[in-house]
Amino acid sequence: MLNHLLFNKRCTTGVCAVVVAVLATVAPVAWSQSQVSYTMLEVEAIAAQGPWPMAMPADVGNELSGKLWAEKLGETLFHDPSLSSNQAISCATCHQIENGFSDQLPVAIGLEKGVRNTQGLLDVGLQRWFGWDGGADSLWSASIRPMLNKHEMGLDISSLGNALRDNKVFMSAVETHASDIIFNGQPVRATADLNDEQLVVVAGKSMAAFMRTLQSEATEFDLFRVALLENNVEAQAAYSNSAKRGLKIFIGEANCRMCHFGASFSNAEFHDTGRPFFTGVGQVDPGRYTGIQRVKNDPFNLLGQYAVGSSDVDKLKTSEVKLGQINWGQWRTPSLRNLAHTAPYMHDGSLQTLRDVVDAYVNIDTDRLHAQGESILKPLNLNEVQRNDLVEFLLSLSVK
Amino acid sequence: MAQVNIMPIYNALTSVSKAIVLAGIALGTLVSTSIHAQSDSLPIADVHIHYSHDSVELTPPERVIEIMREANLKFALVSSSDDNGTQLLSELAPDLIVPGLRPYRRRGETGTWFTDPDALEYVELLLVNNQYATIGEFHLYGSDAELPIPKRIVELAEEYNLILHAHSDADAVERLLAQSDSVKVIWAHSGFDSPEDISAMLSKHNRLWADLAFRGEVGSGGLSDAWRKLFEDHPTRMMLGTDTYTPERMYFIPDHAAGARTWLNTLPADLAANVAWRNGFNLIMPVWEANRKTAAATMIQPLDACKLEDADNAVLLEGDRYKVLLKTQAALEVSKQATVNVTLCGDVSKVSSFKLDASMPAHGHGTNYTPSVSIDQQSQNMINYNVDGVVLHMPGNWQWDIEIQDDAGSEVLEQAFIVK
Ligand code: HEC
Ligand code: HEC
Repeated sequence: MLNHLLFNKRCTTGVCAVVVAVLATVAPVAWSQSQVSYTMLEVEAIAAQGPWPMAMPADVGNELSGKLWAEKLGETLFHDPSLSSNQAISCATCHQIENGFSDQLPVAIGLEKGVRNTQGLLDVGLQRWFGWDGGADSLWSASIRPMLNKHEMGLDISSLGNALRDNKVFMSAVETHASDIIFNGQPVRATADLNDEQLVVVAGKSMAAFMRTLQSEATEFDLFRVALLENNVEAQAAYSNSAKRGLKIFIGEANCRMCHFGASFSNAEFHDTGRPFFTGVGQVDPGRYTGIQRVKNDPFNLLGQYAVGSSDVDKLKTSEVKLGQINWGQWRTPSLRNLAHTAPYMHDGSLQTLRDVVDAYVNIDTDRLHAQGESILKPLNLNEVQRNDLVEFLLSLSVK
Repeated sequence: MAQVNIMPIYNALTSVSKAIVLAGIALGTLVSTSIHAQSDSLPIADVHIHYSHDSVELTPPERVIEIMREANLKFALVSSSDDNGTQLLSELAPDLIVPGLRPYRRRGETGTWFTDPDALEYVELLLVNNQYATIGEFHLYGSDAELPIPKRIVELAEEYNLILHAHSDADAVERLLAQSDSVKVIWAHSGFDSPEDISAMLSKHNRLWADLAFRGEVGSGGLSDAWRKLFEDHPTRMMLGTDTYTPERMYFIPDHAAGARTWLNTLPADLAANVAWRNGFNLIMPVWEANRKTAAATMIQPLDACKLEDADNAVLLEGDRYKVLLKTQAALEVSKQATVNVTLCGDVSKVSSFKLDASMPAHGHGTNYTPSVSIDQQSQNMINYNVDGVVLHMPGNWQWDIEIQDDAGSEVLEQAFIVK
C-alpha cells in the first residue's frame, strides 16, 4: 500500500522530519501559528489515506451496474413513493440529497420509527458490506431491504411486484433493455414472464446502479495530501493549521486511522467503539451479530440465484463470514467523508456533533471494552485546542 | 465506610421453597446420565454473569430471569458490581441464581481493588450478611496475588467455604492456590491461554477449574482438535460462561448458549453435558447448598427484624449500639402473667447477657418475679428472646428496664408504658 509514495525520500530514517512550512512570513510564534511538521512515518500514513477520488468498482452480482439506462431508471425509482405501502415514502424521504443523502434525524422515521441512523449514500459503492451491521453483501440487495422493511417502506414481495408492474416508466425500461437483464443464466425474453421477485430484483439492481454514481469530490484534505506528497509548500498553505494538527492527532496518538483507514476512511470492517446499543427497555440492537445472521439468510445475497456474474472470490465473504461472540455490538466503521452534512452521528444518531464524537472517544469507557478485546481504543489526553483541531480535520474531509 | 446494599435475608417462607427446589436439583443429578448432547435444549450452566449497577438500571431483574430461562440455563453464577444486582436476581429466582461476591462496588475497580481497603471492608461486610458460593470474578495478575488484600480474600474463602473466581494469568492463579491447601479456583476465561497451556495448568493443579467466557474462538468454525483434546483430557474441569461485561450483553446469554450447543453437539453426549453444565454443577452446587443451608438455619428473620409494624402491642427501643423490639400477644393486664417476645438487633455476636425487667419508677419497685429468658432464634445480627413469666401487679406507670452486656460494657435502655 505504501510502495507508490510520491514524497521526496531524501531522509531515510523516521527521526528525520519532513518539515511542512506554513507561510514564510509567519510573525508571532503562537501555537496556532507555528509550523506543523510530519515525520516520514506520518507522511506515509497520510499518503495511505488517499488517493481521492477512487475508481468505483462494479456492484457485485449486479449485471446492471454501470448501465446508463439502469442508472437513470434507478434514480427515478429512488424518488418514487409508490414503492411504499402508504404511497408516501420513497428512498429520498430519508436519503435527502441536500443532507448528504441522510435525514438529520437520530434514527430514521419511515412508516414507523426505526432504531438506526440513516446512512449517507455518497461513495456508498466503495463499501464491501452494507448497513451499519453489514446485513447486506451487495449494494443491490441493500436497496431491496428498505422496500420490504416494515419500519421503512413496508411492502411485501407480491405488493411490490404489483406496484412495479403498474409503473409504466419501470416496465418500459425493462422491456427496452430486457436483453441486459439475466435470470437463470439467460437474458430475459418476455417481460410478461417476470415474476414478482424478479421484478423486485431488477428494481434493486437499478437503484444500486444509480447509487454507484454518487461520488464525492476531492476535499481540502485531498488537496493537502497531494501537496504534501509533491512537496508543494505553497499549496500546503491552503490547509488550515488546525486541520494539519488534527490530522497529526488522527494518524498519531489518537490511533483513529487503525479503523478509519484508506482513502474512504473506513477499513470496511466491524468494531466495538464502546457505544451503547439499547433501543428501548429490555431491547438491544446487537449490530454485526444480527447482521451476519441477516446476510446469511437473505435470499438476495451473493450466494443466491439472483447474483449474476459474481465470482467465487466475490462470494467468499458471504460464505465464509463467521458468527462469533465478538460480533455482539459491533458496527461497520463508517467512512469519515462528507460528515459535515450527515449529523447526527453513530449507528443510533446518539451524538449530535463531531465535537461530541471526539469527546466520546476522548472519554471512552474502557469498561465497556472487554479487558481482552481490541485494545486500540483508550481514553485520550487531548486538550480543548487539540479536540477542536481533530474536528477541523474531520470537517476538511467534506466538500464545502 | 463502604456503601453497602444489604438485601433482606430470606424469610422462613422462601427458605422452604428453596429446600424444595434443591430437592429438584438433586434429582437432576440422578437422572443426568440419560441426557443426550444432540438435544437443542441441552441445559447450560453459565458461570460468568455480571448484573452490575448500570445493567440494573437498564434491564429489570424480571427480564434478566426471563432471558436466562429462555436460554435454558441450569443455573447462573452471578457476581455483580455492586452486589445489589446479584441479590435482586437471587431473590427472584433462587432456583436459578447462585450468588458470587465481587469485590467491586462499581464497574471500573478492576485495577484498584487489590490495594483498596474499602473494597475489602465491603467484602467482609457482605460476607457477614449474605451467602455466596464464590468470591470473584476479580482481576489479579502476577505477584499482586501476594498483596495483603488478595491474601485476606483467600483466608475469607477458606473461612466462608467459597470458591475463588479469578480473572488472572497463570502466575497469579498459582500464587492463589499456594496460599491455601483447600481453596478451589475457577480460572475465568481460562486465562486467555491456549488449550495446551490450560491443559498443563489443570494437570498440575487439582483444585483448579476453568471457564470459557469470552473465548469466542472455541468452536468457532468447528471445534478444533486442540480444544477437543483439552475437553477429553480434563472432562470434569471445563465450564461455560457468557461474561455480561456490558449491560447490553445480558441479551447475549441465549445466543451464547445456542452457540455453545452447536459445538458441544459434536462431542460425545456425556462429555458435552459435562462441559455444558455438569462440571459447573458438581463444583459449585455442593458449596452453594452447604452455604445457603447454614443461612437457612441461622437467618430465619429478616435483617430489619427490629421494625415496628404493629404499634398496639409492640414498642421499639433504640440505643446507641442496639435496637430492641418488645412484643406481646395482647395488651398487658394487671397481674396477668404474660410472655414478652424480645428482638435484639445489632452486632449481637459480642452480647454476653441480656436482662429485661419492669419497674414502677414512682413507687421505687420492680416486679415480684424474675422472668425467665430463653433464646428463640439467633443470627449474626439479631437475637430473638422469649421472656416468660412477666407479671405486672399494679395499674399505673411502668417502665421497661433493659440491660445488654457485651465486651464494650453495658447498654441500658428504658421505656415508659402504662398498664390499665
Ligand atoms: C425510513 C428511512 C429510509 C428509507 C425510506 C430508506 N432508507 Fe436506506 N437506510 C436507512 C437506514 C436507517 C439505513 C441504515 C440501515 C441499517 O443499518 O440496517 C439505510 C441504509 C441504506 C443503505 C446502506 C448504506 C451503507 O453505507 O451501507 C443503502 C444502500 C440504502 N439505505 C438505500 C436505500 C434505498 C435504495 C432506499 C429506497 C428503496 C432506501 N434506502 C430507503 C433509512 C432509509
Ligand atoms: C476500533 C476502530 C475505530 C477506531 C480506532 C476509531 N473509530 Fe471512529 N468509528 C468506528 C466505528 C465502528 C464507528 C461506528 C460506531 C457506531 O455506530 O456505534 C465509528 C464512528 C465514528 C464517527 C461517526 C461517523 C458517522 O457517520 O456517524 C466518527 C466521526 C469517528 N468514528 C471518528 C473517529 C475518530 C476521530 C477516531 C480517533 C479518535 C476514531 N473514530 C477511531 C471505529 C473506530
